[in-house]
Amino acid sequence: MAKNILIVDDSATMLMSIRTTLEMGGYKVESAADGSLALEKLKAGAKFDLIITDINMPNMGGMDLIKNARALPACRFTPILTLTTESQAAKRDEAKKLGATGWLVKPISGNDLLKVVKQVVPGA
Amino acid sequence: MISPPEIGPFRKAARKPVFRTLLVFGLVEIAWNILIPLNGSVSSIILHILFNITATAVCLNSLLRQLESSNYLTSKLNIEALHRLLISTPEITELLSRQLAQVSVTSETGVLNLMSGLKGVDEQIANLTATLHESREHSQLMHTSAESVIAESAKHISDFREYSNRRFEMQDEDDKAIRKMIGQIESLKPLAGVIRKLASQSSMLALNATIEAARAGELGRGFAVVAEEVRELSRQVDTTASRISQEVDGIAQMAAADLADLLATTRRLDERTWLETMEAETERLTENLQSAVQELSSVAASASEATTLVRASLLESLGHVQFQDITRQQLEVIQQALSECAVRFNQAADFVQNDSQAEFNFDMPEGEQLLEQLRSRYTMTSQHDIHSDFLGGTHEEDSSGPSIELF
Repeated sequence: MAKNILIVDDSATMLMSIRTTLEMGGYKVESAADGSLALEKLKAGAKFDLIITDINMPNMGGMDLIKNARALPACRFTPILTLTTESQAAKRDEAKKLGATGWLVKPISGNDLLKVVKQVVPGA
Repeated sequence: MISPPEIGPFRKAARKPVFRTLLVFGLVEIAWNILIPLNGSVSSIILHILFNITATAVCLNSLLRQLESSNYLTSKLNIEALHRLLISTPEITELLSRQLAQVSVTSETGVLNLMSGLKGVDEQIANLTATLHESREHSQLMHTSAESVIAESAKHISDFREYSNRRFEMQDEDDKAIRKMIGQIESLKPLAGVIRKLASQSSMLALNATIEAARAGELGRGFAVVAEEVRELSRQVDTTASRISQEVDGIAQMAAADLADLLATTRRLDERTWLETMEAETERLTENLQSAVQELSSVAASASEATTLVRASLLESLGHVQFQDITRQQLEVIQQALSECAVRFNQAADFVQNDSQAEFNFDMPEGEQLLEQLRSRYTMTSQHDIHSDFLGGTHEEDSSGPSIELF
């Protein structure tokens, strides 16, 4: 059965690029345009095998999303990858402390993304 | 009358052409990112913006040089001119900001269309791969089916060969039987000769008996009739023996002809040749079929390899199009900076217009503060690099870690 992945980004380009890449890799993809919309999905009980989120977004950024998601019992162990243009080491450390699984810097090639996803999603 | 501030914060900030030049540099970087992959419409907007910003920067520099000259602000006309320039600048920055927003929209639309095209290519490749897979399976089925037909044909040929060999053996037996029969028939011919000889002797005896009966006179008359009957019988036996001899000859000739026909070796050779030809043709057919199936499999494998490579290229391209999001974020930083410039120009315009104000007292951050504010909004290493390269400062080299890191 195809693994279910949630992608969170305020850029339509990023959403389409990542969605197409993951679908080519055989994954089922859902998207949200910011952290608060993603959190609504999670609170509504949607189950995901992986969450890929941007950091800088309107309404709710990636850091707050990670923090809130980790507080939900269903998402305590769900892998969360950040995908951002952010280059500051402090931000990277903050994401790590909040419980992110990995840090990816934009742009990322489709082949690299699929490799990472395969590494972090059990049974992918 | 307003006294020009000696070294006021406005002048300090405004004298920093670095701020404006930094904007120009930022735009040059964005233009570089966008001009390469996108078409002329986006490039022309970027060039237009660059032109406007450069023109504004030149005007401001010129004014600042004049401001620095003594007593320039004492002229009412010059104050009005400066006010007009300052009041129009926010409009220009707002216009530029909107143009930048449009660049973002245009590039996003272009990239989305591009990705839609890439997705279409991927769908076509998926269809092609499915078709190839189907063809491969179909060819393998054909191969299996053909092998079964060929095996069946080979069995039929083998059966026919066995039958033919058996038939040749039977023919040999028939040959022997016919030869034996001919021999037996021909052995009848001397018997006909013996019968004819006996008939001739009987006829001679009957003639002598007739002569003797004639000598005996009346007493021999009865005997003469018998002798005559014996002569007649001898003639009939002779005629019959002659016919028997002819019939035996005829039967012997017919049997010999049939035997000759039966023994015609050319027909056997023809059959053997035909069988061998059929075997050779079947073998060639099998080889051709196997070769065709192998060729088809090889073509399918090559096509499959090619589609894998195309998919890999597509995946790479899907990464490359993310430049649009990066560019959008760069544009947003510049838009924010432009917007802040507009606020400061408005404040400067208010100050210049209010000639009753004796003191220069509006709140304007120092140029360094402004630049630091700008730096704080950077998210990318490239933005920090440009900033540091231009201002001669440094930023933490270790701030950028690996582009992929799993914790």
